[in-house]
Amino acid sequence: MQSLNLNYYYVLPHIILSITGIMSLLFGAFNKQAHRDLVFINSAGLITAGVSTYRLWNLVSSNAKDGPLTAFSGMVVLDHMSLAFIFIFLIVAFLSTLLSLNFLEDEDQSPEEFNSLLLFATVGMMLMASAGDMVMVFLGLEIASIATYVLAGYRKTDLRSNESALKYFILGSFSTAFLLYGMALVYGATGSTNLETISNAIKSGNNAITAQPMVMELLYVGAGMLLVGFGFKISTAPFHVWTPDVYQGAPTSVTAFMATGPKAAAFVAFLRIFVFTFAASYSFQLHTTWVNLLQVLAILTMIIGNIVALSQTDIKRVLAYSSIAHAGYALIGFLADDWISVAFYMLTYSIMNIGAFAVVSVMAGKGDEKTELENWAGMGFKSLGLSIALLVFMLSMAGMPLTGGFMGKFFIFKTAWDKGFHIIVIVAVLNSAISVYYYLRPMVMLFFRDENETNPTPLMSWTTYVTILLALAGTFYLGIMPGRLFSLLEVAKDVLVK
Amino acid sequence: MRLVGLEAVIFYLFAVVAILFAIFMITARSAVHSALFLISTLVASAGLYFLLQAEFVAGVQILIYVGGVLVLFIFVIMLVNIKEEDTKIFNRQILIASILSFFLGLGIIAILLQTQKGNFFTLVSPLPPKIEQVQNSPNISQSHNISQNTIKIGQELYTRAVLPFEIASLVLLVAIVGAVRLARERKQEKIYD
Repeated sequence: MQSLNLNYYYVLPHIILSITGIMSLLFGAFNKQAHRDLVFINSAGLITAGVSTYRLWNLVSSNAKDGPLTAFSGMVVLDHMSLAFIFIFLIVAFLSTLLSLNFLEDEDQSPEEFNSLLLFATVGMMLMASAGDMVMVFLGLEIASIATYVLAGYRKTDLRSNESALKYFILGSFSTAFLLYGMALVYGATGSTNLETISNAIKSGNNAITAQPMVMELLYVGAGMLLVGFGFKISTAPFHVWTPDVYQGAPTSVTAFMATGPKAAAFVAFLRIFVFTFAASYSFQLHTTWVNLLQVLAILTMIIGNIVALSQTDIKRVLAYSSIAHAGYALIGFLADDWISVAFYMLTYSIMNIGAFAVVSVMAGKGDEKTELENWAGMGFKSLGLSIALLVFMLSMAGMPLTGGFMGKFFIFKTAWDKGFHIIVIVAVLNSAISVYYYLRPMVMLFFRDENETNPTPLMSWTTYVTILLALAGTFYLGIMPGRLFSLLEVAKDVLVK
Repeated sequence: MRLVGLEAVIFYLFAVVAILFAIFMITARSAVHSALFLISTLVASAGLYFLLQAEFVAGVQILIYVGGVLVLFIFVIMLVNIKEEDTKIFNRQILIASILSFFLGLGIIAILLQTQKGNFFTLVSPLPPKIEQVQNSPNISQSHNISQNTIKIGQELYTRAVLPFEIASLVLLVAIVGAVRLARERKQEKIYD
């Protein structure tokens, strides 16, 4: 029997965050009005987890020749991709923690559950990133999803928030059922849930248990179900219908989190199963099939996301449709089998999206009352800093040079173009051009309309201020000097692609 | 693998029953009926597990799901506003129900009498086997009526699948925290503050 390899060091970031989550629960139970202390506890946990992830990154780099590190009999796989995404999740969780303080304090919501659920969701996402087995993908997804359902309904007395949570819960469970059924069928075809064993089985064409030729139809139907399940989670068209309602109804700081974190987590599991396990070097036919399917999905997603966003009047719905469109852009990276550009894209996307939602949460005021664009008329000069920050984030999302969004799109389009996917890149560039219209419309509202009601100047706490500043810094850093980060990731590339 | 003979008959019986009751469950008007159909579906799929010689999974299925659904059933009756006509569902077939439960009771008593070897009121329990006996027995499955399948599940759960097994507790923790948060009322929060 093979060794179990119970290496707790490899899951240290996960363990640290779980313990921090439980600690925030306990701390909140014994201290009233612990809003601010909990932010410090959470940040300390996240930074410690970040340090241990950094050490693991160095370990992976120094063991580069032996391939990825595995632990717990193949349940955990650590390579540069999983660690890069874990870093993204930690950044998202950190910014969301800072951002949510304002919401929790203003509306007197209990902070301990919010903060611990945020951390548990992050642990779930990290488990998805480091999963070497479909069971782990499923468990991580469930942890992240359940925590996010509750966060979406955190404003209990608000009907929109209730609707958002219920819709997210029902459709999320529905999509998880697809995913699980797909996993069961793939298991039936290949005889294993371990992704490495699955890829070997696909390569040899034999079931891992019976050593008989595998039933290919089962594998294809299973892969299709997985595609639908992940499609729901990352909100690609035509599985995107839940996104606008859920993003609109949830408290804005929660929307910032769930538009970035769980989405990036679904992307990394998607990459792990499709790009790495169903790779062209294992089965050319399977690979061609899903690449063709995904190409259609990506084009549909970009077009639907961008076109429908044009007619939205609520800023949160605009951002929701924009996030659908961004999922389409990121999918292009899948076609080129390039996880690095997808990871870079998810990083820039997360940072600029959290920044934009942070501005929205301040402008919308207490209880997210003013999310309609009409309400924002003439507010631009009253809150100049906020408006300029929003302008930067919006331009970055539209793909303006000197911002992170441009570099993210550039790398993705470039690798896809080099691999010969010309049509889809052209469609994507055209779509980016369309998107400029709805990204700039809030600016027109803010600066070029007369104020039609006496809006009070929006106030914000220092944590929100820090969030916006950090997001701005990140957007510019990734836009002007992406070279260092990208070369770090490029080193990882030689190791990963077999 | 191809199903033949009685196995095929039983498989298709259970499969059709499971699917039919699943359809009934989502089309039933009354929530109570829905819950009952759900139990039937779950029992039928437990039957399918038996057919795969996975009697442990089948037992767990019945214990947890059917038990859990029964709790759900009670909650539905308590929480959902049941209309007038729906409240009478328990009274309609009272005669048949009482006859059935009479025979069921007789059956239970008969089994009890049989196992107690005539004397109903003294509890005779066989001595538990010594640990050495268990360890030295050449085939655990024969001495204890545990099938190889069940042994395999136990071994896998604590060796290869130990991490998912532990992480399942985190799923439960998140679910509990979330449920408490959403179900707690303002008044209760005020009291604790």
